[in-house]
Amino acid sequence: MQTSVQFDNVYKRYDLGSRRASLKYLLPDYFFKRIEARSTSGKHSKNILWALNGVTFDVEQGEMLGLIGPNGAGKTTALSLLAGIMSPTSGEIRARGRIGALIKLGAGFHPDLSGRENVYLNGTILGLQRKEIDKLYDAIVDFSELEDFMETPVKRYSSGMYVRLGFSVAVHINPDILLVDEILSVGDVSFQSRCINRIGEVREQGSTIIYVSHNMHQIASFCDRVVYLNHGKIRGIGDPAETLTIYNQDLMNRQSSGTAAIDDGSDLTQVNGTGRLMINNVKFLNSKKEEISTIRSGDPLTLRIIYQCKEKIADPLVDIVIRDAARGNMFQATNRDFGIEFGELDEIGYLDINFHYINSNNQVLSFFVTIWNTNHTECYDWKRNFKLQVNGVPMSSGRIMFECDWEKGK
Amino acid sequence: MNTDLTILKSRRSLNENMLAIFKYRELILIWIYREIRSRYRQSALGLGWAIVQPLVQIVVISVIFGNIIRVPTGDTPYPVFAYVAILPWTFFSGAVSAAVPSLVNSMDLLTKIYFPREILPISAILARVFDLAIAGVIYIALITIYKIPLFATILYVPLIFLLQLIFIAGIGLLGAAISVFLRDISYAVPIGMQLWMYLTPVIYPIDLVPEQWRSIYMLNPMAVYIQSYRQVVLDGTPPQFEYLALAGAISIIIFIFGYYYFKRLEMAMTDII
Repeated sequence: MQTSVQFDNVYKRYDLGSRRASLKYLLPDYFFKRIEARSTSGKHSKNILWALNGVTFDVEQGEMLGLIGPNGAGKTTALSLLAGIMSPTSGEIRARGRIGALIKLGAGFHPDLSGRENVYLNGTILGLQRKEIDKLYDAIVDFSELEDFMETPVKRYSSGMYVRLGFSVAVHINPDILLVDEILSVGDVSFQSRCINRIGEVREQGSTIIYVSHNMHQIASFCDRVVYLNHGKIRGIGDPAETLTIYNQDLMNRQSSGTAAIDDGSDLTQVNGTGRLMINNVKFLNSKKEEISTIRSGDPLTLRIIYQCKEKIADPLVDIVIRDAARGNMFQATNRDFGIEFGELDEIGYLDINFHYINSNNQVLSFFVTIWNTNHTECYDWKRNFKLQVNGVPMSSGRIMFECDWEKGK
Repeated sequence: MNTDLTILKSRRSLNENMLAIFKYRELILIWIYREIRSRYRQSALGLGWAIVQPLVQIVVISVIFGNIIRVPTGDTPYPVFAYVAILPWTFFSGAVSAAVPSLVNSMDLLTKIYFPREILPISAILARVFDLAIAGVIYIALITIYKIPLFATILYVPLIFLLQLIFIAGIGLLGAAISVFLRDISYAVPIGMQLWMYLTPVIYPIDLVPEQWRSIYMLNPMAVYIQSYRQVVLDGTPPQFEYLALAGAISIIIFIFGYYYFKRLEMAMTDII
């Protein structure tokens, strides 16, 4: 196998904002270097962002590489460097053959020109001669399904039409390296699936594809290898399953650390109701009754509510809500929904709710516990936001892993 | 695939750059086409503007400086005298004014796709040749009306034009590159052009410039070119070669410097958007 793309210790720095920083580009090198030395050591250094911070990786010819990472991780910067739009601050990028780039929407269309003229403009920019475009023109138009709009200035196009034409040009010029940046999120479903098929064809022709997406499902199903960028550095590289596991774990850590410190009841000493019964703690236990904060999807879980009563309390109503990241309730039920009454409670004790298995997938779940009097008219206490991380199948993008059997029939 | 793994680099030699421009020649044609078309497409008069503009200019200037102020022009009728200068001057100022904002106007494109950036200012300049050609029709009408004889020295025109083009390209590349970093340049260009015109013998004959200032005055390449056009077209005398050589040298130096500077800044351009 031949190497198709090589990132060799690539750094890319952005100077953010300051007018001084832009002025310095105008000065000759020797002067520029002096200013730079001063500004990086001084107060200007906080205006510097390292979009790529020592990135090294190779892509084999014919490989489909997924590039993932949170916003601002350096994905688009990496593609822009490869497309030759920018040059690295230091380090080297090597590539073999013609690069077809789809950086963002409508790569290189001019709004005043018609669709047809833009196909030629775009094709020429990508390095084709007019005769070559003549040959490809019909296929490009067919694929984009914009026959009726080819004489319309592209400024009148919808964003979907824009992408369709841009994609169509890029995949028909038979690039040796195709860069795809998040564009498949635009356009209707039927076009998206044709794009994916077309990418498959381009791939079968032996082109290298670098594919940036936030759609982990697409990344997992199409890519041979994945590079996970975070803060301009490679956080994970290799097999999609392994890399996506690291990515998912980071994502969950970020989610839980991002919302944990809230004063809405996660402070266990605070009583949020009348306090005749207080929830002292809520714990997650595994099947061996050991306290945990992480489980695997499909594992059993015991939710233990530790309470304390100030007076005699009988048959309370215990309400449990489970939420996933931002999508609202995924579970809500009370003991009565299951036909259970607890009878008279001890002064200090606990209630266990045993879930047979938690089939949520790659999620951080938040548990909310509220205890009412038996008539549902008085709230004794509630406690919120107990977080449980559920690790599922790394390659799966679904929220739930239903248990299922797979078989063949005839 | 037989091609080699090549380093993506921003710094290329002048030769490589020239080769790249040649490779992208069709892109230049498309850009020129686009420039011309988008300029005239949405106006009712369309291409007529390329005629009307210089026509109005020459009428106004002729009335003011030929009939009211009466600038001395010897035997040559003032409209012809002025127009032979206005033609290349308008080309110069139009081309520079189009080249300077050419990159800024296409920033959207620059951030999405790579092609040699000099194609934008160069196309903007070349597109103005089209206007020049159309405005040239008026000139043919003028010399027919005023029965100006045709001199063999008119064959010098292509040489002067080539030098002027090199000068324009140098200024245009320089201005375009700087304007990405200092947008103010685009506002300064019209003022600069106006002042520059008064430093160039467009509406007055060079004889009005005092002799002792002449050598400094002629450091302005545009002054040399305008004066040369006038000499070879109207007087039938060859241009003053020592001045033309000097202007040519200045033009070439500015072009090389401008192009070098442009290529230096090329990659930094996308960083600051």
